[in-house]
Amino acid sequence: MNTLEERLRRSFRAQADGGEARSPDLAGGAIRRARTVRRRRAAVAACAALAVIATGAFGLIAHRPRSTGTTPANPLPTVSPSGEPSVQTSGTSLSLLARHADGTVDVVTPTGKVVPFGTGNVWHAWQVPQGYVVQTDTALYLLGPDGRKTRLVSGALGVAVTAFGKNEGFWVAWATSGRMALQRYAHGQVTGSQSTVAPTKGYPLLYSGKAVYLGGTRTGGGVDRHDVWLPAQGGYHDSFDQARDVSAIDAVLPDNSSEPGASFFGLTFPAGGGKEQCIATFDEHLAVLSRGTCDPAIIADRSGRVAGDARRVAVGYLVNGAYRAAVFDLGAPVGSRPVAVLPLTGGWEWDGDALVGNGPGGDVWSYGLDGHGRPISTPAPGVKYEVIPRT
Amino acid sequence: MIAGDTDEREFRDFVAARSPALLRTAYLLSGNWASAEDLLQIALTRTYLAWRRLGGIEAVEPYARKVLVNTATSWWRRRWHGERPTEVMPEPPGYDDTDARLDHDMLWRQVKTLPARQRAVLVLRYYEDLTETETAHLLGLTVGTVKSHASRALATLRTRIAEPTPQREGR
Repeated sequence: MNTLEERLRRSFRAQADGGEARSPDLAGGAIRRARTVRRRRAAVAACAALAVIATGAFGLIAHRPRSTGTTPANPLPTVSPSGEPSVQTSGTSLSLLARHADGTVDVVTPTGKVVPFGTGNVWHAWQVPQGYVVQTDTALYLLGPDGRKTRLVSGALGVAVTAFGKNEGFWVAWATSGRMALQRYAHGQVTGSQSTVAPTKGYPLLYSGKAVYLGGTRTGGGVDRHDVWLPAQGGYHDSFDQARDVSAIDAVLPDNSSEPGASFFGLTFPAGGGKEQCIATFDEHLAVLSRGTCDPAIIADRSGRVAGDARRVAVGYLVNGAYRAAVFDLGAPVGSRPVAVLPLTGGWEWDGDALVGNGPGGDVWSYGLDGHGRPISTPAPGVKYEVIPRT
Repeated sequence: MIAGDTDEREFRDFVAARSPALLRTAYLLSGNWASAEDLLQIALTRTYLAWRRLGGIEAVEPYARKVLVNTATSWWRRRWHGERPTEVMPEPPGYDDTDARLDHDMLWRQVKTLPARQRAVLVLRYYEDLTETETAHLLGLTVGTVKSHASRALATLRTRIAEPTPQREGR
């Protein structure tokens, strides 16, 4: 036996057996991701079918002279025929993520500028003062408005991004298989850092400025375990499954929330018991601070977003079996009905008084609370647009 | 629905039984535990998507292993061509210290610098104990290419760790 070959065998065995990887629920994670892939495939197939049917009609609308009055007030984003990296602005202050059929991904800024990210299996993107934080299956990147791509960390399993100050910087919390970290970025560099042991039952999903919210899953069917890490109090200590009133933690409440001590928006259960979902606010320990209206049609899928006024919230809602976005007033008493139910199917974000997200056909639409909608993106062959959430 | 439940139960059983071994292989292919878990998660996701198509349990592990190896090598290609070097933000110290503890092995450090395909061939030949033919089948290469990769990899390692080439008898 060759000496080097034998040394290789010993080295491989020592390396592979010496680690102590903390695997999460691998089967559950794989099943969850597989379901997402299947849903995406089904959606792509449906969009393709719709596109075939609708191509003629949309083409007519898109190319009709503006003087006819039929064209939407804001021109639709269309890739420039010249290939220049710009897209016609669509009248939203939000940025869009453009996924191309060839696997490349771009960011389209509110001014219509196209910032190429390149290829990669992009999971999420967040808008921050310095550009966009983009999570792929292998790494977390900061993509600047000039296209500069900086790798922040490799192998992050969960990521929470929160901006601070007025165009100042952002916080990023993440976990790898061994460590969990919180870092502060400002003016193009790391200006603060803290790390601790990684949770074994979940990952960072939100950061409120005081608390890193950690979500995990028992069943693989969604986030059903909850915990927090409070960096100001030192290292992380596992206290999963102690927040018994939490059904879902959806979003960080804006700084202008009038409720003292409120950190998160989410869903809880009725005070007297029951299976309805109730909109709620939570403190940094995930204790319920206020319980709003309850409705059996509300879906606990972490789709909730809070408007800038810290009063209106949009959550997933089932209407006759169809998925919709329902807007509630956080301060409305128990028994209140939604302020609006809008035909958005996911990925929504507030844009002032409007809610912007993917419509049933997969395109991006903007809806006012009066139910009036306008398209933000057209069904372009081989491109799918998503709203990039603000942090 | 019942078929789906059965699939899910069988898949969970498979993951419970085989994921530790697959994770170890993923670690040797990727070089760190964080990437290994990502790699395994992708392999398991694709395996679950193909579950019914694979037919029998005997076909499952080879399929998962093939996805694992091919994803590892494609990651390397993507990283090599896809990133621009930058100087503004160094990668922060949020790494898994398990990797650092294990990284004292000089031979392992050199293995990690090999091109992905060469490393994959070494892992499959000397950790998984696959034959050259099995390795070639898994990687989608010819046996000759596998031999070539192994030979180059071993030669590189010998040079880097300054191990003398084994002397032939009678020399």
